[in-house]
Amino acid sequence: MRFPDARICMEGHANALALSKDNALIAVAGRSLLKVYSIDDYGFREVCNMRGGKNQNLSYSSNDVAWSTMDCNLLATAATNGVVSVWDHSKCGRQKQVLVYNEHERTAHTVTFHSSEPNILISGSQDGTIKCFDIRSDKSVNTYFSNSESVRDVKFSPHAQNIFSAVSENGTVQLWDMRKWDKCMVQFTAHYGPVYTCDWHPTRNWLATGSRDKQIKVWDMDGRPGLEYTIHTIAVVGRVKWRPERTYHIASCALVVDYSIHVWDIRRPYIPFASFNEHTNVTTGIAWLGNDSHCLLSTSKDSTLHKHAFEDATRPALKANAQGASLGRYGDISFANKIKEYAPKTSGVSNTKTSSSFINRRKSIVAGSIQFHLDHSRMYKFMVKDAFSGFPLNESDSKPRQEHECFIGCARELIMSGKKLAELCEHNSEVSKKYGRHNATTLWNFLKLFYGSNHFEPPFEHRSSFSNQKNPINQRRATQVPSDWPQQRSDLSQDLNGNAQEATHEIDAANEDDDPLGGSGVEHPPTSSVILSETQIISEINFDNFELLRNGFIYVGPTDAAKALAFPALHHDVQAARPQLEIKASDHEKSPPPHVPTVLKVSHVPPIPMWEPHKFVADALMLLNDVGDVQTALTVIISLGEARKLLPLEDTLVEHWFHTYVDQLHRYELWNEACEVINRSWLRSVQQLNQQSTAMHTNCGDCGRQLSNKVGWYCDKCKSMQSAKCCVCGLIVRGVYAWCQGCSHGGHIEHLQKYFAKHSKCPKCGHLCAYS
Amino acid sequence: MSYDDDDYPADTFPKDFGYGTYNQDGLEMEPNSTGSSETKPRILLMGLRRSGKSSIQKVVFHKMSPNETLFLESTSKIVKDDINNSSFVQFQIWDFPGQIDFIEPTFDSDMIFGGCGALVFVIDAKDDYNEALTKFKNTVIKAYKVNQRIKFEVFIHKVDGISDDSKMESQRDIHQRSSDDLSEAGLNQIHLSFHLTSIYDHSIFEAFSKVVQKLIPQLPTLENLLNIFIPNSGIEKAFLFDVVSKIYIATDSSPVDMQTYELCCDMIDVVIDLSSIYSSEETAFDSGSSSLIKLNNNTILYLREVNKFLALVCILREENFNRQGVIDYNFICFRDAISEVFELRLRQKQLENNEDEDLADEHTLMRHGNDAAVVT
Repeated sequence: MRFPDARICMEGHANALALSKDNALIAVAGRSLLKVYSIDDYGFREVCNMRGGKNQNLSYSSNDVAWSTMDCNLLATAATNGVVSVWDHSKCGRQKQVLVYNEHERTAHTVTFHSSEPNILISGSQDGTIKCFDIRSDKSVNTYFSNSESVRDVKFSPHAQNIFSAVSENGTVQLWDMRKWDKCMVQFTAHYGPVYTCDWHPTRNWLATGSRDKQIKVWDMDGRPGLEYTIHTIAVVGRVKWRPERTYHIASCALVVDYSIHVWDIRRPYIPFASFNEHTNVTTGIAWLGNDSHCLLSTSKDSTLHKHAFEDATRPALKANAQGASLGRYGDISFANKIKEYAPKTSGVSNTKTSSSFINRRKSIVAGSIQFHLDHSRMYKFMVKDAFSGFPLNESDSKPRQEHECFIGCARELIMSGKKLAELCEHNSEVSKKYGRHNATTLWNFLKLFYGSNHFEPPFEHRSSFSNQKNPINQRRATQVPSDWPQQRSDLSQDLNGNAQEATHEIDAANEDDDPLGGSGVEHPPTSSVILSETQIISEINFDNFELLRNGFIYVGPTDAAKALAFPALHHDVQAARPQLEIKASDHEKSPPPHVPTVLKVSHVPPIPMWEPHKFVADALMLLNDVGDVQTALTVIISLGEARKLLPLEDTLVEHWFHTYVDQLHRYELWNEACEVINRSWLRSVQQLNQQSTAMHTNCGDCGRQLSNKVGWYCDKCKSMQSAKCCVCGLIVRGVYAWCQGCSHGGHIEHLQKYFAKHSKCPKCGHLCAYS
Repeated sequence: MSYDDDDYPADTFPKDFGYGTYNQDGLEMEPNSTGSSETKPRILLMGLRRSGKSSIQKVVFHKMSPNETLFLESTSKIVKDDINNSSFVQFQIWDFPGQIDFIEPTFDSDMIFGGCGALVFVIDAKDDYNEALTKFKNTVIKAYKVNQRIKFEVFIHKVDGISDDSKMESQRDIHQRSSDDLSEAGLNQIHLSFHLTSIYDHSIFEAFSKVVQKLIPQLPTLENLLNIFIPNSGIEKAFLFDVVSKIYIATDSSPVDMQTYELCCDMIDVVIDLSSIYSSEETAFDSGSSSLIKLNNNTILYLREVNKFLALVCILREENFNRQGVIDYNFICFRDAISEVFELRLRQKQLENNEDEDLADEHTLMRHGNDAAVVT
């Protein structure tokens, strides 16, 4: 059944609304307003205006209104001057106001009738008291002193006859027994700001409270009150109301800023389940139409009364991403998505369909969990298959090369000077490719483009050539992009929400651990094209710089994905901004990383500002260093020659790289290469490495200490000249002294040669000296 | 001590700013020394050393920026500071260093506690508060013996340094333990109020506002006046401010939104600062003071002087400001009503008659309520 969205305008705005027992009448109360409307399928009809005539009275200016739970003619209001009045709208004229209790010293904030005893009503006031009235008498029956500044809301519990809750401005919730006026039963601090509203759950013993600290909290009131759920809203909570027939749904409206009414599923406390956005000012009162969970009434400071049908609500939760992707340490990607109702639309499924031929796929259904949205989710884990990494294969690639082989090979073959930068880059990229370092290859190609032909003027002609080169691909992409492509992209780059994301991570970690194959990814940083959901595009681009650069940098790094993402994003836009403006519009609007605002700016400004690649090159180098490839990073810097000054890199960092690289080279005994690097350095501290003393101290054969004296054979500690003697013949050595670094024994070189021709162990200590 | 004889402009520091000695000022604290001082609330600020009392005092009453309070030296002896020159509120701030036993005979508790309306005890939330609670218990017991009408307020201070969850936890814990302490001592009837405060936001001002409001017997009347004034003038929210301290001594009954309050506070700062630069008068705040600020979200901040200490700051929508004449007329009614309310109190004090003041207040209120209603 579908209700028309009905609205009605009132003069003066309303502070509260209440529904009569039979759900046929609505009372609306405000500062200068007290009216009763009837509701039917066609809309609202004014039945009665209690503020007719000239009798303007302060006790008419109401903060709250409540219907009697028994008598459809009786209602009560709480006025700003503290007066609580009872009205009978069937009577006429001034007699409508049946009873007036002028007992509160300050503003009365709330009034409510007892659910089963029709004559009892209670009111809460700014003066910190709660008063209980019996409408058969003209005086209050009981007064409860809450000992707080101001009581903001009182509600009878539907589960216990005499219990009511009171919330107050000092953040406490109190539970009172009507019969015990001297002391409250339970008192606890619920919020760190004033609590403005509370509502009892219709079936469970739960109490929901809403506060200025922008939270709605659900308390389990069985025994000692315990916090069950917390919902974080964006604004001060004004009213809350449980949705009938739905255990976990609660409606709320805000006191400031936010004009919408939100219905929350308390198990998913970050995104509203449904929202009604009709009001143009702050909503002041909400009520569900009896037990009808599909119809909500609300009034607002915009002086309107709305009847909302649930079908018309926007569903923010549905627009949220139900996907999550995460990168593993070894370049694996796990990807979780919700399958049930959105399966045909989401990227997850289409993605796996198109990519199933590319990759090994493992599928695991996440076991049903408490998180209700997750029990229909499915997780995929993609692993990299080398054959489809998008690179033409070298013969050697069938077997992964050892890391150190690559290192040594690169160290020998990479050249750092002596040619033009373009040729250098070309050569080095070939070298990198040969050794399977695809990231480095891409980077070299990139450098060639930007710095190659003309050292310091990358901007225009380079970029134009660059865009031209990209054109076919761009166009192809633009035409090929299916309608859901951008969505997929953004899906992947955004988080879905706390829970699902967390879950994904957990699953991730778990799967990674029990997956022995994951290790195979170590040596070859994968360039898995799957993630981007652009498999069809990738397959067409063979060895293109930018696509690879993107893939490489996003997915290699175990480190900073955000940083890496920024790089391709900007890239992408620069291309897009060039020739095909019409495509750009649709394309980039949804293009992924929302955290790169500059992206948007770049493409909107018609004359594109000069794009400086320096920052990105620097980032790329940092990234390379982070993943353990200081070799390429440093080689790039050296090769750039003077252009390196454009890169925003700190000298200390570069110096560190120098030291690291030189150290590595030394370890592989690549002395010549190390020396060359040192010579190429422009940093003093590095250059000094070559100017240090080359002296090597021998050790004492007895105590193993270094003989750093002027006299190279006398040990200070042992006070002996033992180490000056040949360990074979026992005579003091003059001339060439051969010496084992392992055991510190040595002697005449010819003696040792003879000795080691027959033996393998040290003549003195039995150490396995390796004489060569 | 009456506010007739003080001549400090509202925005400057009192000339005797600094720590006067206990004996010098002792006599002036005598309750009921003048009729007018009775109309001002009197507050005692206590707490362990380094709990932030001096910072509170400097920030609230001397316009010190919160960051500068880092450089305040710790107050090492019992010191007293009077802030009663230009504010509606009369304050005395007492520092209680831990090692001084205030039960010693030289400590004239009758005089101290006898004249004060509220005792604010500051507890450092970031610190271990066991010692503070013990001290607090002793203070409360002592003060309650002397003066049973005293209101006890606990400021759980420096909450900017702790997370939202632990804010609530520490409030709950302190509440629980101090109530237990008091009931052990057989003082169940004492009611404690707790406030989470920080000098880095406006929570300290709000907490002070609540403390002060409890000490104003005319509060319900003031509130009612505001409640009448507001709907008749199309105003969303109005605060009656003490200009010097920027604490609000009354507001209408709708919930106080922090941002609105901060805006209004800032407006007072702006008005005072500007007018002390450009005003030809000696004082920055006088009967002609009024100001209007239009915000870019179609709302207007409107400030009017009420009396020497008080200003009314309203926030309203731009379209409602078309009827400025009505608002101004209503405001004049409101201002007259307020001055009558305070005069009534004064007169009553002076004549020492026991006429039921509430009744009279109500008369004033009704008359002006009708005035305002007629205009709309």
